[in-house]
Amino acid sequence: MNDEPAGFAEFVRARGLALRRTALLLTQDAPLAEDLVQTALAKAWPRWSHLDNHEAYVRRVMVHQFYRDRRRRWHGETPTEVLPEHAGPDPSRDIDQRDVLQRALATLTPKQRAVIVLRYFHDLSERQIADALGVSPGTVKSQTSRALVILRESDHLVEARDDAPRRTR
Amino acid sequence: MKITDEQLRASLDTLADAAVEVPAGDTVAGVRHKVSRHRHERGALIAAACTIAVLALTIWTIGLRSPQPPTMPATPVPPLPSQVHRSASVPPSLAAEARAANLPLHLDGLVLKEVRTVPTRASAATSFDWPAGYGDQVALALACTQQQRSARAATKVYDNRGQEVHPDGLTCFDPALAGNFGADLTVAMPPTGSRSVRMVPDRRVGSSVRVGVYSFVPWDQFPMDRVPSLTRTTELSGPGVSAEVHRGTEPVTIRARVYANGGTLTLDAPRGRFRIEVNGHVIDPCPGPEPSTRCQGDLLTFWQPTKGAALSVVQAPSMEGQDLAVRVVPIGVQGTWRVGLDAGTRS
Repeated sequence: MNDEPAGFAEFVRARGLALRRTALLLTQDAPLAEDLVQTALAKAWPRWSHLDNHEAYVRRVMVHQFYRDRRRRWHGETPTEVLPEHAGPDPSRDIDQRDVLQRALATLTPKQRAVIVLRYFHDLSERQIADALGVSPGTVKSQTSRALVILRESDHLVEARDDAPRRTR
Repeated sequence: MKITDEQLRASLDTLADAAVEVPAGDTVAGVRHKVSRHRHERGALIAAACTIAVLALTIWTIGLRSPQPPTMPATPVPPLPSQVHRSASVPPSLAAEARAANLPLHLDGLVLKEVRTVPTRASAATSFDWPAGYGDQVALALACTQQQRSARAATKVYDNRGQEVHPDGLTCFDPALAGNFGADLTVAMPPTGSRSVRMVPDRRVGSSVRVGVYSFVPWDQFPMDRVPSLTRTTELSGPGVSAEVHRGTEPVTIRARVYANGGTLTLDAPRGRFRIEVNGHVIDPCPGPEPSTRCQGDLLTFWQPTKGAALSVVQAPSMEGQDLAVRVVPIGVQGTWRVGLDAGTRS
């Protein structure tokens, strides 16, 4: 197949990791995250040359795909296996925190997880999230509210809250 | 206990840091594979949809070509004037042909579709077929002329397997010899689903005979008042006959000890249907091998007011002195009807 859109490989090289970070927050599984990124890119492939903002479009497709597709096997509790190694000033503390947050996020439904990621990771407004997911702002608001209640009541997060690092993006 | 928005943002950022670097070439290759597979699946889906559409179109076309089966409402009702007009509106040329051949346009739930001329030849049969649009059951009628009655000549009718449709063929009996069994015309019914027959008229009836091809029409479209009576009549009264007169749809049971020369149930009825039960069992009112316009399922159907319709209700004719309880259940019968059971006499 030689009809690869112009600039496609360059985009993947430049923005692949950013997309994979979002996908990982959604799926909480590295292979599934890569699959989700590839699926979104495949959907963008046919109209690549007509897109103005490739990253925004692919991220929107990716979140929408995750939000809509209930058949995916990342439903429910995600097994907490060994997480990928990550270099940092205090690896053990980051791993602990990731594990705690991952356990807390795993208690959310895929829809709740999607709105939380868009709201607090990408800093999108409720209107923008609603547009991305194809739902009403009211739905976004209610999903966000329920998700926060669940996270605040999560034992995992509560126990680790005091030790969580204060990082800025 | 409450987690702040800032803490949540920071936690998410930390979790996202776990995303692993994947070579862009691997991702592009994966995307290329997905695109290729999607196109393949879409092609297969389109092919399957086309196949289903073609199948549906074929089934729909077959459905359009197949004749609708005659419908029988639970309660027969007289046809509306508009229905009578519609079903009676045969082409003028056919009406003229029917008049010339002395064939009725309507006959016991049947409607005339065409008139054929069948020559009388020395040794060869004349075969003819009819279109599927006539339905699965047709009747062939031959108008009886005085010459045919006198000759008592039969027009043999064979189905496509070479078997005779009726043992007597199309035979016109002389009323002088057959008493009340004389008829204006004689009818044969090819097997259900037949599309053709071969006919061999007797040379004594002339150079040719005119045969009417009839097909069934739905009950509620049949103009009953226009139908001439073709019923073979018998005397209702006589020794040993238990006759009762009834009105409406109340069933009646006649109990009698029947002997070998009896066991004939006789009915005078307006149009409608009857179910006959003998000792608790529903009997087939037309047990013979030939299909009849009178019988639909286990129901005896009168398309027109009828006098003296007779059928045997004896289960074992050789047995003398059977005790029979004959229950007659009218269905949709309007008006007065009369039933009689000839018990016969002890031999």
